[in-house]
Amino acid sequence: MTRYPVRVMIAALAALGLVACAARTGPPSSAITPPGPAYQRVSLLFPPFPDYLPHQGTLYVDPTTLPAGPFLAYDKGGQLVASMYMIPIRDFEAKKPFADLAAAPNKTPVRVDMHYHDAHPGIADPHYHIVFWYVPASQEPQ
Amino acid sequence: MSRYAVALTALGLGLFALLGVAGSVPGQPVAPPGGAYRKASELVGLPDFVPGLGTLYVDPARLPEGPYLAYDRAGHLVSTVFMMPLQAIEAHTRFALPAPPVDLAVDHVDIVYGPAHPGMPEPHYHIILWYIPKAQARLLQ
Repeated sequence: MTRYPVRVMIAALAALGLVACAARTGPPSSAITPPGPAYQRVSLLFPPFPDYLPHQGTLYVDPTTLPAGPFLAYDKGGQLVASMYMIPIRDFEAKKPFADLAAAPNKTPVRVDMHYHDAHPGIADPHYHIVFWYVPASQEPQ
Repeated sequence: MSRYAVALTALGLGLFALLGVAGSVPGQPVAPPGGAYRKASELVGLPDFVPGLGTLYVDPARLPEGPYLAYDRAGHLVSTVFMMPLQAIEAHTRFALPAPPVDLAVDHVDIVYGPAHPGMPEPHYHIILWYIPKAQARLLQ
């Protein structure tokens, strides 16, 4: 093999590696708004649900996954800060399973918050918010 | 820098990047998790391997809610489990729990009822963050 093809192969290998490396470190599709075509802004689906809520941010959901979600929560900079599931109390009492729920791709939470919430536009029953946070409490949307 | 050195540098850079990609899904951590975590079977009398979940480890200070780290029979981390008593749900109790420092993406989530068992004397819900695909999780028997 001549020196020229060897150089081409080396350059191609280097380029392939660098491109693959860049792909690996690129942001996941859900890390910034909008999260994808299936997800819609909750404030548009269920007016008068606020477009932005303190300690939650702006919520998006795939309507086919209601009521459980996941709801994807974004801060004012458009960064994904949490995934939220909303489970009606009466479903807990009925021992209803919620299996194989989707998760935000390429994310793992740093903390979990589970708390009661009254009914609100979009969720007609009292329910629990199960929130997987990807940011520390100090970086929650204000 | 000679052409030869440039070529070698490019080759090394490419190989380094490719090796990094080969491990782009970080390897599943293996049991035991270390730190404050102990086998739940030794703490609260759960079976050493819980069908559907695996072998559970928990920090005793975090009983009964968890987080529990679940491992398959080969000792690979497969999920993080939280347990939320139904009574606490009906009392509108708030839970603010740390997630273990796991460097794995969550594949899917199960929120499923569980009856009382050793270590959790009340009916409760399991909140399971799976790091493995659904088909693989179903093999944990």
